[in-house]
Amino acid sequence: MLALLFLALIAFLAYDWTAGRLGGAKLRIKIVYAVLLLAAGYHLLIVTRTITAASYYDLSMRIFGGIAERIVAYLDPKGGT
Amino acid sequence: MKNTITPTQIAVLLFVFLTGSAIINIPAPLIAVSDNEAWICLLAAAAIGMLLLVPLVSLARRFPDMDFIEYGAQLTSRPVAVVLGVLLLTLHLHIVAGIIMDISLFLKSSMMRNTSYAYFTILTSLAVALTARVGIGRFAGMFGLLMLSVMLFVVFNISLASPGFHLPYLLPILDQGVKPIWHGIYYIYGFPYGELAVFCMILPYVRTRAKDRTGSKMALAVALNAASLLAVTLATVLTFGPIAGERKYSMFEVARTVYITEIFERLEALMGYSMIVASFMKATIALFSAHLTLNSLLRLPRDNRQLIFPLAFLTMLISLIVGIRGEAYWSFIVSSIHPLWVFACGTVPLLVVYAASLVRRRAA
Repeated sequence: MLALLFLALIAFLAYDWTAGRLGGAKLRIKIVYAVLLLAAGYHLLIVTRTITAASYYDLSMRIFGGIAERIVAYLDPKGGT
Repeated sequence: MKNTITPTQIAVLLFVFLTGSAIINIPAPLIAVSDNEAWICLLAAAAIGMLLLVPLVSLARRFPDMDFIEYGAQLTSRPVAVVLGVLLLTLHLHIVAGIIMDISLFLKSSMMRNTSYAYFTILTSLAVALTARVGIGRFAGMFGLLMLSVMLFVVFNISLASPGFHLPYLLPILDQGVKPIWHGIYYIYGFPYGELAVFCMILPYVRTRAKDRTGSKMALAVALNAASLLAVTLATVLTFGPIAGERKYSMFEVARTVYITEIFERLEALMGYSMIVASFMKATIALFSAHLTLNSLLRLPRDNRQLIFPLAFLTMLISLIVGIRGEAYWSFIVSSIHPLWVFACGTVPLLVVYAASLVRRRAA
């Protein structure tokens, strides 16, 4: 799986650098490209269990989880989950 | 503008987006929360979807070459539009990651149980990224044909499964009061009707002429979607009755019941194809819309495609994490959090900007 992931990443980067002309792109694009890859790298560390940390969905759980639970509990005719 | 689409194509894309993965996924969880009232919930949520088209289309008509963030900045202010745009982007990322994860979970649980879901996630993400990268002008044409094949197979499946329908399974109705209906509406509003808010970024690509009826065509797409989902939901209830809510990937399970002589059997392969293709198309549209949102937030040219791959890579990894957290975690996100997320980050931004447009119009 990791090999396939890295192959995908290298293929993306190679294509974007050559055909996509990322090398000559605006600084803004390069910075955001790097930020997205960093965010992806952070999640990769979680996937490979190198770190135990909150992911994108964990953040959504923290923001919406409590309210969603209360809504669903209210709507459940059996009185809650 | 290069890479434009016609009003008919945007209506087709809307139908693809709404119907995409919903046609296979929706019936079981909807029936699980609302029992035999599922069809009532569907009709109500479709009506909400129709109402959501009003702000979507009227804003696009008023600002024909501008996307949501651009006209949002004009109607409110740039900082407010950026905040709304970021909220919309978070929803986009979630939709793409969720659909890709859904394809992987389906393949792993129903067809290839010994294969790691990660392979499906990575390969699907690659396909979605490459397709989004070719541009909407190209994939909009292709998706019409693909969706036609999906719908033909679904109709074929329902037709052949119809001898196994039991009409008494439609009853009882409202035996647990109205709460199941509200629960069903909450669920199905989130998936798929509330998600049509993402089209606020795609509508600038529509090449309109004087008498084009983009709004009517999009409304027809929503109506056809509602009819399709109604048909598959009723087919599921009529086939499985009390256990309909437990049969995940309903159309796949309905196809497994088909046996007519030895010629028409194992039709679940067609439903497997339909599920994967339809979800792939929806993920592509969502990823394309996500990159448009990012481009607009960064004030980049609309046709810039350099950020599609890193976005796809990020959503791929977000999907992979769901596999680690487990199915119960994912089930809670999809059934409980997703509708709230769609409302807060899709519907509310659209309504805020629409309200601003009404106030501005009145003031003018």
